Amino acid sequence: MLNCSNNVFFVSSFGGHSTQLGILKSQLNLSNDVKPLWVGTSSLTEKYDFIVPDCHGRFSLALVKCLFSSLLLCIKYRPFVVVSTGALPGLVVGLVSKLFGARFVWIDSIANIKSLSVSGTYALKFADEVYSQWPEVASLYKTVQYKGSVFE
Amino acid sequence: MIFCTVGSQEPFDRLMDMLEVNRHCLSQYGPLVCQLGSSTGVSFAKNYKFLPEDAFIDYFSRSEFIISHAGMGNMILSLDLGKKIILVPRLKRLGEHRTDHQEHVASKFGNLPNVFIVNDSEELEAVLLSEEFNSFNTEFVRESKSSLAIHLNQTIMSLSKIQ
Repeated sequence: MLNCSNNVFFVSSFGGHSTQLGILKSQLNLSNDVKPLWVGTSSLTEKYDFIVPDCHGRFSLALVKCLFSSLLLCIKYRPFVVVSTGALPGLVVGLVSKLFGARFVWIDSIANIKSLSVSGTYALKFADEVYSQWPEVASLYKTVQYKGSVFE
Repeated sequence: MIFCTVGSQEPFDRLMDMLEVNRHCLSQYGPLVCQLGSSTGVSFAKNYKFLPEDAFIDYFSRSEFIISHAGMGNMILSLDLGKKIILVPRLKRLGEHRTDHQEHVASKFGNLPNVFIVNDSEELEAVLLSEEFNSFNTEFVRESKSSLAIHLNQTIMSLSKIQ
């Protein structure tokens, strides 16, 4: 297999997405042979293992930079799972990692209480698992699961 | 001390004006510290454009309550720390955000015991003077592990075995 590493990427953009992913990550109890790596978009904090350029909205130079950066990361570290809470940078890393055989898990931000985020609806097209943190939102989509939220 | 933070995206001068108007009311809680982003500073506050994360969390934890836009990061941190928080949703129609999701967030979370939603200076004043706000001191503690984290843990571990 292409993704022969034991690396898991946790990817999110700065702010609320990162806060939620940080809480989830801190609650995991992974065995020693799984290596979590935190990918963020801001160098203002030292908690991230890697930084990818932030991007949002439509096609932009920032998106190209993010794509390129994700490609380098995925080639080098070959994660077997990528988990993201959003937004676009998480989607980009998830998409690229899939090309290298990874599984992509999308946890839609708790901020999206009426429907999935824009990034989330794209994630629906290629992610292996998509979760909403609201049962009402999950029930709107065939393949979206609800398994609780980051804080209960 | 009161800590006010409005994120780093579009300015949120409407909230800053609400603080100016309620200067007298706010001053009884001690000094006001603001992380402004691109907003205009408040005349009687200690204003910062941006705070490093350590300083941010330090101010957040030491203040009596938080005043913030209805951003998820601050919302979740306040739940984490059991802090009371006054949220002012940013509105798309006033150019304060790209979508109206902050209004949705506010309406969903507004019934939590530590969350107070206000939309203008009068509502802010009413909350600051209210018995409900001033008597809130419940330890609002989050359970140590969410079922979502437990499920995610299982998913990752089962995928690692397929390797």
